[in-house]
This record gives sequence, C-alpha cells and structure tokens, in this order.
Amino acid sequence: MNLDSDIDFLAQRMIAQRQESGWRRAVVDSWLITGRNLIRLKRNPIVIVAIAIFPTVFLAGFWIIGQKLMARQGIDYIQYLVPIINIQVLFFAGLGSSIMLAKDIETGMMNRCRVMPISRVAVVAGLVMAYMVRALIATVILFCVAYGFGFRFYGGLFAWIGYFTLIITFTATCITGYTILALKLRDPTLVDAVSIIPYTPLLLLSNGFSPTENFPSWLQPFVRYQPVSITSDALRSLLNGDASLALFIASMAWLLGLLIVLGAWSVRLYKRLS
Amino acid sequence: MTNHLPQLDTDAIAAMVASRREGGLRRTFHDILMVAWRNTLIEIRNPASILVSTAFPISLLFVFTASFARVVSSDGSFSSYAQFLLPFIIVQGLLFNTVNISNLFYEDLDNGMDVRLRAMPIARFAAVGGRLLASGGRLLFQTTGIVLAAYLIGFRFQGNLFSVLGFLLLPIVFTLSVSLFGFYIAIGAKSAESVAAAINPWILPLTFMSVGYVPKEGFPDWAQPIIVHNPVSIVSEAMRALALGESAFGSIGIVLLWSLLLILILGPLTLRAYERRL
Repeated sequence: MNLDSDIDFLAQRMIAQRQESGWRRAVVDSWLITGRNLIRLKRNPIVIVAIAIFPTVFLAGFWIIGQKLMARQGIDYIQYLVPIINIQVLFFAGLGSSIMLAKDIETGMMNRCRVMPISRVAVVAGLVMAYMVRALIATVILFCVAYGFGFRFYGGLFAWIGYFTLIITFTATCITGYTILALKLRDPTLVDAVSIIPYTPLLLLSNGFSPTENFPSWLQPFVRYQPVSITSDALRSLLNGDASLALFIASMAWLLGLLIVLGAWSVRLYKRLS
Repeated sequence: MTNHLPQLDTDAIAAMVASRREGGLRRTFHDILMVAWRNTLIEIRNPASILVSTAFPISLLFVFTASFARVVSSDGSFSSYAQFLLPFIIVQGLLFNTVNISNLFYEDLDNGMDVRLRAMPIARFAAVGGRLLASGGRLLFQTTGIVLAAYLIGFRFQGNLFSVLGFLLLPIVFTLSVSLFGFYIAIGAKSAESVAAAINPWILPLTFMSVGYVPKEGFPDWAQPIIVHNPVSIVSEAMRALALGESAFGSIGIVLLWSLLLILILGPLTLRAYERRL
C-alpha cells in the first residue's frame, strides 16, 4: 500500500519533469521538428526542381503560349499570370508536405515522436512551418524570375504586407488540407498519386490563367467565386497597385473558413492515429 | 584437389545449353510475351497509377478546352478547340507516363528482378522487349480512354479505319522511343524520386514549346522556328491530320525518323549501361 503511493508520487514527479505541455515547450519542440524537416528538404535534390525549376517552367510556358493571344483581349499576361503561378507553388508545398507526413507515418517516425517527451503539436507544427519556409523561398525565387520577364510590383508597403499575408494564409490552409490526405491514406506512393486530384480542378478551373468570361457560361459562377479565383484576384489587385479591400477580405474569409473546417477534421484524424 | 573433380564433358554441357534453347525467334517471342504479361499483371493489381495517369490528361483536356477555347479560336467554339487540342493532350499525357514506366523499371533493377531474369533460361532480349510491349499496352489503354472522353466534348474521327489506327499508334511509338531516355536515367538512378526529378524538367518545356495548346501564330516570332521543329509539334500535327482523315505521310515520316534517331542513339547507350549495372 505504502509502495503503491510511492510509485504514484514518483510517476507524478516524472511526468512533471518531462514538461510535455505548456506553450513554451510547444514552441521549442516545434522549432526542433521544423529544423529536422528543413534539413530533410535541403538534402533532397527534388526540392530544387519543385521550388525553382517547376515554377520557372510553368511561368515561361504559359507566358509564351498566352501572351500574344491575351494581348488581343487587352491583358498584360505576365502581370496576370504571376499570382496563379505563385498559388501553384504554394500547392506544391502542400503536396510535398502530405508526402512527407505519409512517409513519417509509414516509417514509424510519428510513433517515435509519440513516445518521446515532446509536445504533441510539435510534429504537425514542425511540418507546417518547414513547408511555410519552403513556400516563401519559392515565392521569392518566382518574383526574381518574373522580374526578368517584365513583371513589376506596383503596390506600396501595405500591398506587400497584404500580399504576403494572403500567401502565408493560403499556404497554411493548403498544407492543413493536404495533411488530411496523408492521415487518411498513410501510404506515400498513394498520396503522391492522388494528391493531384484536388489541385488540378481548383487551379485550372479558376480565373488565374484565363479570365472568367472565357469559360462556358454554366461554369462561370464556379470559376468566379471559388477560393483560388478570389485569392488570385486579390493578389492581382495588390500587385497592380489598385488594391481592393473587399477582395482581400473575401479571400481571407474563404481561406480562414477553410482553415478552420479542414483543421478541425485534420486534428480529429491525427488524434485517432495511434 | 583439382584432380578430384570429374572431367568436364563438353558434349554434355553443349547438350544442356542446347536443351535450354535460349535463342531462336519463337523462344524470343514467347519470352517477350511472358515478361510483358508479368508487367501487365503488376499494372492491373495496382490500378491507381494507371487510372490517375489516364484521368489527369482527361482533366487537362476538359479544363483547357473550357478556359482557352475562346482565347485561341476566334469563333470561340469549344468542340473545334477540342478537335485541335486532343492530339496534343494525348502526346503530353503519354510523355508524362515515361516517368511511371521508368519507375517500374527502376524498382525491378532495385529489387533484383533483372538479376533473377539473367539466371533463368529465357531469351536475353525478352527483359527489355517484354517491358516495352507491356508499356505499349499501358499507353494504348490510356490513349483509348482519353479519346473516349474527348468524344463527350465534340471530338470526332473523320477518317477511315487506317487513319484511326495511325492516330492511336503514332504517339505510342514516339513515347516508347522517348522512354528509352527514361530507362537510361533509371539505370543510373539512386532513388525512384530522382528518376522523376531528372525526367520532368525535360518533358515540360518540350510540351509547352509546341503547337499543342495554341497554333504557331500565337508564339513570338523568334520562337516560331523552334516551335515548328519540336517533335511534339510534329506528332500533334500528324495526329490532327489523321483525325481529319487527311494524308499525313510527310509528318508521320518525320516522327518515325525522330523515333529511329532516339532508338539508334539511346538504344546502345541504354543497353551498355544495363549490362554494366548487372
């Protein structure tokens, strides 16, 4: 009896010493996992292709096939194109994050983290932050390349802040959405094969590459109001220097709303993982 | 010690080798079919890969028709753009597939399947030939799927049976010769992901810089000579003519010459790398 209460006391002390909860612990552990994920990204040659070569190829490719034809409709295509290519880059970050998460689940890294004295949120937060860094670097690279094609950012300081606020929110929503795929399927090759399904219709059935008026009329309502279109409209207005607060708010509302819904779903799946 | 070994009977060995009958035309055909069937079974048992890589070009076809028809053709008719776009969508979809085909090959090399094949009494050529045949089957499945989907949005064959067959087979022949490049990469690769990373940056510019999405007048003047001579453009043009039932012997000839060139250059390179890897 005496022994039991001793063990109880000891266990309480040990748990207290591990200090798995608390905000400070969560932040420190998340940084740790972020660092680990960034090292993995840095050592993977495919990442260079994904953040530098793909965006350049898509930007150059669409510019070269579209600029003459779009000029007929009175559109400076490089200014028109940069937001959607930027969103595509963020989608790639989401795709990559879901594959990495699926790998962590498959190889047992996830279970390993579970038994270690680290904060529960660290694994997910570390994933999101590492891919956020990757998305921002890719955005900067894209801007540099686009500059060479004649792209200019006409907005002021507030436009810059607004632009990057949208970029960061979009990345967070996108990664959160894609974690659901990884948590459901848990197989990297399957995730890789399926990950293209949410991406293609959202990106291509948007007004990002071609104005809404060019779509068949029955498709136009979807094309006009879906989140990728609203966000690329908002980004376009910010970089052209005619920022529209209404568009910014509409885009943020879409993204934050999705973030809450997808986030709740993802957390539920995550809790059920072990 | 050596004198304890029995005397080697060269006649008996020759008889054994002869009874294995690894050479010969019939044997080669039989073995090619066997390896091809094995690879096809792998595809069938793991249908996600082939279904997604068929669905992806179809979604590109629909989406580009929806968004670019009014930009490209002045009358803005969706079905006439679908007629224009489909050949290119097929070529592009099949070219994307070289990554999957090469990955399958890489996995075999990685887990020792090819070493196993070496030790078995089958025709040497069957390991490569069987794979090409199975890949051809996979590509034909995809092409047929994409064409059927295109019928929904207004694409129509206007030629006879021969031009339909030519339409279906030409991109497959071209893609198979390009996939030799993928095989070559796969032999030297250290991971399945690096195969994809090495192939994709070549395929994307090749497809963008072609008369696939828009006719050549849509491109800047300096780019037009490159666009016109890009083999992807030539395949697309040949297939467009075949779909309309027009004669396309000139461009078909050029496509076949490109394929022959690729086979002549990449074939020996790939075979040499293959021998060395094993």
